[in-house]
Order: sequence, then C-alpha cells, then structure tokens
Amino acid sequence: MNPASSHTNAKTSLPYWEVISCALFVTASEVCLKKGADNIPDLHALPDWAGTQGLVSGWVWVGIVCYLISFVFWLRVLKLLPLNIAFNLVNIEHIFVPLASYLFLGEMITPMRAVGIGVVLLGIWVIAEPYCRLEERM
Amino acid sequence: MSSWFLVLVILSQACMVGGQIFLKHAMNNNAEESNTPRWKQTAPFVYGIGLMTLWFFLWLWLLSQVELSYLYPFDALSPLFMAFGASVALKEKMTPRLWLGISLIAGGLLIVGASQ
Repeated sequence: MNPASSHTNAKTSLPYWEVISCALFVTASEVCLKKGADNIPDLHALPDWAGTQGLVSGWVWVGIVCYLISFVFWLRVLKLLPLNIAFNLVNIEHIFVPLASYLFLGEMITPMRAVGIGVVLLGIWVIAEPYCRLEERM
Repeated sequence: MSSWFLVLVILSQACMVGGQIFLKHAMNNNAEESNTPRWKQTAPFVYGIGLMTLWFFLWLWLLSQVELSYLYPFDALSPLFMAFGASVALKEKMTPRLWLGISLIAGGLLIVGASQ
C-alpha cells in the first residue's frame, strides 16, 4: 500500500510504540497463560471442556489482564493504520513469543524455527520499509 | 482431515477476519466523528467483539481436538485471509509489495509451525 494514500494521512509515521506494546503484551499474555496452564491443579469438580480450570491460577488472570491491555493498544493501532498493514506488523509477536519461550520457559529454538522467524521478520520489513523511508523524508 | 473439520477451521478464520474488519470499521467511524447515532457507531465494535469471542472459543475447541502443530499452519494463513477481507470489505489498496510481505509472513509462520 502506498503510504501517502493510506488512512494515516494525519499521522504518516508508524505507531511504533503502539505496535511494539501490543506485541509485547500479547507475548506476556502467552507466557503467563502457558505458566498458568502448566500449574493448574487437577480439580475434578470444575468442568474442563472450555479450560475453566485455568481460572484458578493467578498466572492465567495476569495473562488475561495482559491480553486486555494488548487489545487497547491494538485498537489504537487500528485507528492509525489500515487493517492490512496493522495486522501484518503486529505479526512481530510471532518473533517475540518464541524468544520469550526461550528466555522465560526454557524452551528451545530449533534452527528451522529460527529460519521461520527470520522469514517473518523479512516480511514485516518489506511491509514497514516504505513507511520508514517516508518518515525519514519528513 | 474430515470435511466438517475443515469447514470449522475456515469458519474460525472467517470469524477472526470478520471481527477485525468490524473493529477497524468501528475505529474509522470514531475517527470521522460522523453525526450518525451513537448506537450505530458502537454496533460495529460490538459485532467485532462478538465475532472475536466466537473465533476464540471455536479455536479453543479445535485446539482441544487436534495437536497445535497440526492446527498452526491454518493460523499462518490468516494474513492471506485478512488481506483478501480488507481489500474486499474495506477497499484497502493492495500492492505487489504488500502481497510479497504477506506471503513472506505466511511462509515464515508455516516454517515455524512445521518446526514443532
């Protein structure tokens, strides 16, 4: 999409902080939900078909709060950018989540996964680069 | 994969794309500060939240039926569905560069999914 003709004519620069904050809070949410899911006690009294047992874990509630905060940032990004651009830029969370899994959950990043992350990064750069160039000219 | 399962996967993606389109529509309305009644302005937001909720529970159910690594590649197709939905419903302009970026992201997500 041509940046000059986008809906962002009032603010042509990328909303960096909103995009990064949205992706970081989604990442925090995913890590907390995973920690919560791993620490759920086996409560037979509660139905588990919809994951309701997870609600007894504090980690899950922190994850839900993080997700709600990310949603607020997402709405701000949606206000500033066309959906196509916004949705693809926030895909940077697919890089943050494996990194956070490695740092906080001790999960491994295999070489194949690293290649996938690199390709995602390249795709985000291809979309964001015209905006960055436009911003440099201003 | 049975056909009904494929239908549910596509339905979940359609709910997600539709939800995001309604949310974007709601944000555009707010930005324009039009003189339309308040309930008409908030309706797209409510529809968006409703569809996203539907997508969440449908996706949760699908996850409970199959392994994540099996389902993940379908999630990787969401940028393509989103591009199609945004260009049709919101008349957003698509360029070859944007298609290239979307294809790279979808391809990268497929590789990440296959690495599980």
